[in-house]
Amino acid sequence: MAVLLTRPRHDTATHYLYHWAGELIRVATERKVDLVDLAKGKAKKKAIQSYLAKNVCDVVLINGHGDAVSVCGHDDEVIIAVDDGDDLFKDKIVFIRSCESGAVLGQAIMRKGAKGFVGYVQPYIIPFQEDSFHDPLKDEFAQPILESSNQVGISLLKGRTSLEAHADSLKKYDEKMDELLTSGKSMTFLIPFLQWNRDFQIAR
Amino acid sequence: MEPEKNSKDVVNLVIARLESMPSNVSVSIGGQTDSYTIKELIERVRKQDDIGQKMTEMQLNYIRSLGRAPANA
Repeated sequence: MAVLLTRPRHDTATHYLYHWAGELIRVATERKVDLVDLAKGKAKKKAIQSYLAKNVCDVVLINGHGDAVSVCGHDDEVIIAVDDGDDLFKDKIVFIRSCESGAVLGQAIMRKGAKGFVGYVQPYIIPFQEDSFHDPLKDEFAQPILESSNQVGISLLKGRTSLEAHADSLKKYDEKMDELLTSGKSMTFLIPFLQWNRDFQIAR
Repeated sequence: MEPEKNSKDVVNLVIARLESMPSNVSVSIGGQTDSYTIKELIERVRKQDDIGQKMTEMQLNYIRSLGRAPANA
């Protein structure tokens, strides 16, 4: 298996996605999966579309800002949009962790021959602990949300299909919500965030 | 299509829920580059701009989910 990962970093949200997507690299390394990491300034349209056009990967994991019709890389440059690179995913499984990626863009990607897609049909919402910016992996507010969506990538790295990876992720969301209800840590205010991202994550 | 307008009671309910959160929470929402403090979110909910409406929708989605039976029940 070969994987292409994009993880820009230029603001708070992408800083967190950058670090949490780094966990996927750890899993890929453990499993000896061949992974191309387009990080920070390398997450640009030219590089990403060039890699995709070379057909060198089976799974694509994209992190960044976006909307219903496009997803961005570093400094919010649009890297893939409807009718601009959406045909480069033929026979690939794609996870786009950005707002509303499943609303229109995901459907276009599937129509143009992708093997599977996981994304969101509403904004992807992340709560942060303001004093944890220096260490996002230890942020107790962001952790349940990002760990649940990371499960999509982890399952794909293990060779699961898009529908199976989605189901694994939903299970992780449920586990995290149960943990918050029973932990006694007064963090149940995070449950609406988990419920939202869970309810609006979709797979094809 | 115009989004459904939220009643004053709903807006007040969401503000009360946000006020109960720890003050060191900030939130990234939407394809926006900015993240928002709880104080900023409360103001957005009060104004019912696009961010405030989305935060309202998120809280209502949770409250409504409480009335749904779990899948494995």
